[in-house]
Amino acid sequence: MGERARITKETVARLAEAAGLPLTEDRLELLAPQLDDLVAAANELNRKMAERWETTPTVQFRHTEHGEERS
Amino acid sequence: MGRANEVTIAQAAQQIQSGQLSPVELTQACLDRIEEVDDKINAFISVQGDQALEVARAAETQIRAGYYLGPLHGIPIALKDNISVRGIPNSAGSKILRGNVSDKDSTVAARLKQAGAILVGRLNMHEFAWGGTSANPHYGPVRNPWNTDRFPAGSSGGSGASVAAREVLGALGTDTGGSVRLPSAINGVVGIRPTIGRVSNYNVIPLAWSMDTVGTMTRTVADNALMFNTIAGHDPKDESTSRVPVDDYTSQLNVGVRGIRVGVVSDYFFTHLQPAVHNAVRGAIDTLESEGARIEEVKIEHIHGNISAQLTIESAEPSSYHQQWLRERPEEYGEDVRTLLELGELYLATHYIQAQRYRTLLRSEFLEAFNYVDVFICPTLPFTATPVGAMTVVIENDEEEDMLSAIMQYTGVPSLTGLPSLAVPCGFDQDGLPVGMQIIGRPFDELTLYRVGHGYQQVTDWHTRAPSL
Repeated sequence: MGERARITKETVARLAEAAGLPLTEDRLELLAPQLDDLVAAANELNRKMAERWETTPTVQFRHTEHGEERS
Repeated sequence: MGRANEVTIAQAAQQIQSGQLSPVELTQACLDRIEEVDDKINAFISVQGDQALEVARAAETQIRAGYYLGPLHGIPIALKDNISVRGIPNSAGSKILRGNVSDKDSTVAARLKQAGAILVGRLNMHEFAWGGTSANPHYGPVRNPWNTDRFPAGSSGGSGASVAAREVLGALGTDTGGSVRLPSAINGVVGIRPTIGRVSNYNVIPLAWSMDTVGTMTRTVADNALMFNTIAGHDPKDESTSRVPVDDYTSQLNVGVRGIRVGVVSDYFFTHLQPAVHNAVRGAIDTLESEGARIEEVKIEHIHGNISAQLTIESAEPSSYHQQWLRERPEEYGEDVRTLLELGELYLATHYIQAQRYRTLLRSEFLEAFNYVDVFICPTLPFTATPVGAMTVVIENDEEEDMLSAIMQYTGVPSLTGLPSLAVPCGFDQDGLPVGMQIIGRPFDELTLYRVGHGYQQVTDWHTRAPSL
């Protein structure tokens, strides 16, 4: 696997734009290295979880329309 | 004989019921103590002294007339500032919600009131509970009663500091990634993170919905069980609460630890921590073994990865709650919380979902291990109290580490898995700063946590020591 692409302030600017989050230049500078660390760790977890395809997130619904009690 | 505010809840309850101690005298002693020391530790955002005394007088009248409600009747308690009480400002330690007055009680506050507890004030905290230092930029930093140059951890820093300083007999905090257990350990008090769904979050200002829970903080394990009895249980106002029956959490306090199987995950929980913390927690495990517990080494295959999963979930969920304020009033947040909220908007959806899948995996591995052990014991956090305002911490080899990742290293495991966890004092470091262990249990088995914690406190005296302020 090649060296991963770093998250730069330009990356943060694009993500923030997509999220509709206005960020000034100094915020972009501040956030880029921190997001780089966080996303690197999150990507590592993604890789681990890819090996566990059978594991599902636990989402619980109460089907009250079918007579199930609310919580 | 010490001052009235120095008694435990169990002692006070006995004295109040028998007429030896008046709720008014006890409440006044707590208010005097707050007046005496709170300018040094800044645990309170506001104190409702007159109201507390009024309730105390009513309690005294009731009890004299024979209407004793139980062990919390007439007991002064304080609540973290994100737990709503009708008619009282609750800001969650923020500027954004300054002046916010709830018109409804949270369910936990309502239950404490029904049990006759006296709510004396609002406790300082990390802004919106999003951080572990309680260095609050709007209300000032909370300070550690054992050394006021040191932090009280957080986010329920005011809760931990107020109980340790004998300002109140018990407090409520909230715990998402460790916010009850961390300040409990760092201030030398007892705190529980219950099984997720055991306690109502109704009218509690959220941090991360899928991990938030209210917890009790006290000086002793027995007191904690008494308080927990009052707040645990299903709440029709909170759909996420469970209908699993509640126990009497005091019922097995005196059973002892003989035969209890204690799991230890040495290759995760004892590899990267300060020597004083290592020695204190290992010493506690040895003590339990000498009392008849059996110690079992356990491997949890996927335990590494929990910090990233926690940071991802604890970033994305708060950022969705704060989305509008972050766009309209960003400058009203403290710098650290603003940064975390901004970062939380920038993760990908797949990161969040993989983190949620990881929770399922980690939980299944712990549930499997509970076939062989009854509880796990580990440190609550890998270091003792750092200087107020520090954003980094040195754990070993003179290397500075980011505070947030370091502080949630051990508390994140119960938070992600939904398992209950009890923080119990188990020693002091070379500078006289408290160390706490975590006892982690099966879902809805708080009873065993209290049994083990109380068994430990019956043969140790860490919990009887008080800071000199």
